[in-house]
Amino acid sequence: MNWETIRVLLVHELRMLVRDRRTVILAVGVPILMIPIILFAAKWINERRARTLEETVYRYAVTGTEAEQLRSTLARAKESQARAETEKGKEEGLERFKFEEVKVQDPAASLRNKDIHFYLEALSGPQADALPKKREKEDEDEVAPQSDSTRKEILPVPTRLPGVPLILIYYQGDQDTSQAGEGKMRDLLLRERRNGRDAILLDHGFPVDPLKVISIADKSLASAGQVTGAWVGRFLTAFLVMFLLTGGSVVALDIVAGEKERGSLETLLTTAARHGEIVAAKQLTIVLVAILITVIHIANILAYVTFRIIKMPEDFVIKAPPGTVVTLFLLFIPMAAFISSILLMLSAYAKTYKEAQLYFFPVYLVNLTISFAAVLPGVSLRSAIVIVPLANVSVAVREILVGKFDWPMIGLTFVAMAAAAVWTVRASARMLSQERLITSSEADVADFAGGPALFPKHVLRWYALLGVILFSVALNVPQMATLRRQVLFNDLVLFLAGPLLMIWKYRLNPKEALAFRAVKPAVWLAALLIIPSGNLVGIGAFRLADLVIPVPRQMLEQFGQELTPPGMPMWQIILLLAVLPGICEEIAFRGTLLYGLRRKFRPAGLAVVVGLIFGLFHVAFFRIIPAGFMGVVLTAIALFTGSIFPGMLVHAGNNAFAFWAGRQGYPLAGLNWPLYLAALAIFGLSFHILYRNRTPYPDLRN
Amino acid sequence: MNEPVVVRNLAKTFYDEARGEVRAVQGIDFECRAGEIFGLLGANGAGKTTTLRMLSTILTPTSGSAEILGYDVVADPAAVRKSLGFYSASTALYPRLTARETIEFFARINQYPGEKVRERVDYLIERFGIAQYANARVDKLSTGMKQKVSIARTVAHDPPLLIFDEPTVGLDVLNALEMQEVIKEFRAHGKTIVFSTHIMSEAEKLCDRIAIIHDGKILACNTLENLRRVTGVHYLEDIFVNYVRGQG
Amino acid sequence: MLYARELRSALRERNIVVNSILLPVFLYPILLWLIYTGISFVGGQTEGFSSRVVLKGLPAQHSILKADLERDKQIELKDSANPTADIRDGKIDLLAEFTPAQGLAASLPGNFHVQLTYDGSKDRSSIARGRLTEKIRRYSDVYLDAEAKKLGLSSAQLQQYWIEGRNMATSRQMGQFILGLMLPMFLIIMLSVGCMYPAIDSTAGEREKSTWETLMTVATSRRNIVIAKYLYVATMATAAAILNLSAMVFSMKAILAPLLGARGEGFTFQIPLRSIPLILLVTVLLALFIAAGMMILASFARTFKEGQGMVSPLYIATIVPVMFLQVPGLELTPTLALVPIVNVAMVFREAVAGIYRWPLIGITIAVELFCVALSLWLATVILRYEDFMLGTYGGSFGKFLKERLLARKAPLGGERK
Repeated sequence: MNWETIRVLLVHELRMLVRDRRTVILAVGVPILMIPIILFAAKWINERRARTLEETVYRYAVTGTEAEQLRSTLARAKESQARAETEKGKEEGLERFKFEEVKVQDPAASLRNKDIHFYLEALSGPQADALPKKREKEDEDEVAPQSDSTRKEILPVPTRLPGVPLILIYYQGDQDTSQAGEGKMRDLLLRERRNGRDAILLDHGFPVDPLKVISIADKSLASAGQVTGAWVGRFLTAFLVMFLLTGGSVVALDIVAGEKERGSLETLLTTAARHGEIVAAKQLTIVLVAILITVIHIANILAYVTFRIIKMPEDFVIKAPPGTVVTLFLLFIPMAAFISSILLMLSAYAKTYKEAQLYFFPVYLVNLTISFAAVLPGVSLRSAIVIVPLANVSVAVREILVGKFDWPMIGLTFVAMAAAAVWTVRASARMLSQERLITSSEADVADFAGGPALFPKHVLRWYALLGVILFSVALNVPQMATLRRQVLFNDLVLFLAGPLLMIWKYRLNPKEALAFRAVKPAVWLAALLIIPSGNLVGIGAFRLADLVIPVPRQMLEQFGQELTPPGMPMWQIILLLAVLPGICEEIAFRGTLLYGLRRKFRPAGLAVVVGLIFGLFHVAFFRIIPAGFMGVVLTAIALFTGSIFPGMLVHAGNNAFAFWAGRQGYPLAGLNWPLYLAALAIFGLSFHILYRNRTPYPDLRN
Repeated sequence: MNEPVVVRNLAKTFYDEARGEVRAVQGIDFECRAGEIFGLLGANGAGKTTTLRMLSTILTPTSGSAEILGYDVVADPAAVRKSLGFYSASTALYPRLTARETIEFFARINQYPGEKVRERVDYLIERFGIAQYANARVDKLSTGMKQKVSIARTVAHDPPLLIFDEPTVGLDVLNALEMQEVIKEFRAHGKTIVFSTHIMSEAEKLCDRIAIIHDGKILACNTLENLRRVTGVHYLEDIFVNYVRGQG
Repeated sequence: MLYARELRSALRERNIVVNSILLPVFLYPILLWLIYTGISFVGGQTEGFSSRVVLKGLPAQHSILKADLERDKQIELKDSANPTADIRDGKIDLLAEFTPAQGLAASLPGNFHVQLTYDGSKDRSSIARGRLTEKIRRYSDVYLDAEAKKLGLSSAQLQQYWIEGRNMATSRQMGQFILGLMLPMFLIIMLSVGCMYPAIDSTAGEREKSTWETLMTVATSRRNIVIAKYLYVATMATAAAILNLSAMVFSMKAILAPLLGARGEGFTFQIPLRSIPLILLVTVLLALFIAAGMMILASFARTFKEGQGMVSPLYIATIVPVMFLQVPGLELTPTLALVPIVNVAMVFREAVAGIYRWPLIGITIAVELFCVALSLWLATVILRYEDFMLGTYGGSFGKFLKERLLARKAPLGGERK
């Protein structure tokens, strides 16, 4: 590396950036203006809403047989307000709750016409008892509903007792003031009820103040600094990633893609500067600009906090001892390098500035989403997340700011992040050497003629569309809610008709596209052996991984779990969930998808990509990896044999095996280790048989 | 022989998803002698640009070898680039740099001795008559002015070998003539020049030797006189057609 | 013909197709999948959380509480030699220490005080605190009830009355309320984004590709060319806005379902059919206005990148005012009806809720028409200048403004129609 060359290049890039005034203003000036505007808007909205709700005099009507009783209660409540001492918690707002009764003929109509904010109907005990029973969505003491399977508690959920009068508060949920009024009135009545209860008890000789019965106090061991650290830690990494990405993109999108478009990249590549030096200089430029803009934003926000333009809660205390700062810094360096490499790679891949911008949005979204990992409750650094770039830093930062230093995991985080950064830097350097990205592409015959030559270019779009349809229909068409209908729709419409449509549109040879080829007899034996052994190997692999890095329970269970509704006859299970997917999904994934991608990737990569796409089509998170694993195995079989048929057998057989084992109650996820090892041996033998009897998939990339 | 440019069985194959293999250059051989203008003459898509890009190390040969001033283009690309100046209609300038900054940048990046850079830049500004707009940004210059700045930056580090890939494309008559004069002047100063074109008259005027390239192969490589003698026709256009149709 | 050409060429331009068409079609399902997966993962995480609790000193007479805690699968009773250290280390979540009540409170036999110790910086610990507090409060009610019975009071007497809320808004009204809060801002953003690329591409993009001058030489007037481009940009903006809105309304229930939980089950997200013509009208007017503004600014740029730089401030200016409209309960007033863009957002919000204040809607339409007319007039003035058409202003709108419009100089080269 010639550092002088890098210095010259770096100065050159920075000089050009600084002279692009418009970009500088947009990149720095506009966000500096926008952030306070956004914050001010949010603050104004909240304050205005709070003020409106507070200043509103809530008009209400009273009706029902117990109206007078209710009016007395409300009168007492007003008196309590007048002499109330402020209590902690939500009742503080009750002191400023202003309400006045309005006499109306038709309360319901008045409510609809917004003449009143809400109205109360007071029913006697017998009247309330006579009301039809229905699930009340907003019972006064209802807590967040818990799943029935976990709660078999002895203490009853509070409900209205027979004979107890009922007060119904009618409001319009689509009107903010009406809803707020209902809430305040409810709180007021609850408070009055509590006061009433206490008075009744004391009048009957209850020996103590009811408020002092079973008093609860709590104490947090975490210091204010730690609590603040936990809160800040959730978002800090995500904000930094956001600033680095937007800041870095200012220069990154143009630094290669724009140069390519203008033609000056080729000029640069003919100079004595090596590719590595050019990449290093450009990367350094992106990092410097990204960090500078991030620092400006942070300083901007800190200024607002310091001058109390943004008000922080009183107990907001940031503790940042030097050790913490240094550790954070060490983690953020590879993160910044990684992000700048991603931006450089994106710019190197795109042919024009516009194209680079197009790629930027999804890249931004994905990276930002991953960096919010710390928001997930209960995610620990000591888990699989430690090897996921950005997510690992996010979780590590949260733990560090809370004062938890899990040094081995922090070290692993640094290594994983640095490895990711190195990989992306090398990828972007390779991209600058990829000739098709540097030289302008000549017009492709396929673009003119269409037909089979165009299919490889369009195949992924088709599958993206299939995925979208699968997901949208499942979520939005209630008629598809049953398992049978979903399976039939997915298999017959998407996975069978879809590929047939592609074959027709692109004039593909069906035999080639679907790999309808005969195989040697021994292949069938191997396929039969893979059915049980593949299943167990998958489970065993994940159990092994679990020893080192904990894997969520559901993921392990999904390998062998029976997912069928109880009572479904076995023949239906086999037909719908084994045979049909075995045929249709193979046609879709090891048929047209594999055919379309066969030249895009080398065989190993192809198996992983097709397997991964297969996994993603299983939608539910905990099924993606097991399904993906099976997808890789099935693709490997297709690549070895050049045929779709063995995979169909394995796929159908694997599903049938899993369901059968589930029905029989065999705990496939809890077997002894020798059994998994035996399965591995059989699995290996099966692939050896495949290899020995291989008829490779034709026309693959070397 | 220590010729400045030695190409042996050089080939370049591209791989395309839809079409499969595309053999852009199919095993060509030639040498350029010191101080000559060597022309690569061919139609669009013949392989001229691919060949020159391999020589300038932008592309990596699939097979064969090329040496520039003794440096192998694959083994020692940086040394190759340091020894040559590459000019193409597609190699653009940086719009936000001034003419002076452009020339200085390319001198430095090509490792011209630091203490001499200033002097060299002043000389080139003077030589190409761009003193008037030396401090104007490139994006404000006309096509002719940009051309001059481009040439100046090509020779900013005073390389012994110059490669010109269709340098007169898009230029008007006067500018094209000026370009030809400049190239001749470089030869007079002892530079070796590899020059590609599809304009017959240019090749006739400038080149000491001409290689006719078609479909990635060199069909002939000789002086104009010898080509005339071998083919029996006078005009280079006819010579060219003779070889290409004979090939077809 | 020109309009058709513009549309055809736009549909082949990847950026435009992605932003205006593909993004709405694919983005929401993908977003849904991400949210769905995220919620599943989080749900998987938190449901798997049992709260690890250590009880100390719970009196035997309150064994019902202990029995309830033991039966609850979300609570795991543990033992610990050093609970405070274990809480800090994350091995347990909460320590509940039961001590006999002191002072006057001790007059009630069996009364006790609970001290809950937890770690506020750990989610699990905070969740444990919430769970235990709720449990103990419920037990407290049961206990009070039992003590009240000893005094001859029935539970019903103690309960006095029961309170229930009844939301009279229909599921459609609830859905419309939420749509009304979210969609106006969305409409403006999507319309602006859908407008930006075509506006820049049809002006600065043409200059960059050097097809601008080619276009100036075709056998039609410049006015026709500009009108065709203008209509094309407005069409793309409207299409983008409508596609995005439709996709969002279609997906709204599924997007919000995990966030609203059980409360959101009954909501219907639909825009009243009779509002659709009004919504279309104001969307088209807004598209015409924003398209004009963006095109004027972008046409001064020489490259796509420059064009983006010129248009971005306008883009921000259209979005910022709408941010302030996120206050629930805000209504369209005569003042708001006079503010461009804001008025459209408010009309849209009220139309979604089925509210039609016709006089104010009339004012809104009039204001928007005026803005469109003003923009078109400005465009006409600018187009007269030959040096603008030839792009010799170096991409500087400010320079043009200063030298041409504000100095009131005669157009160079005479007027062209």
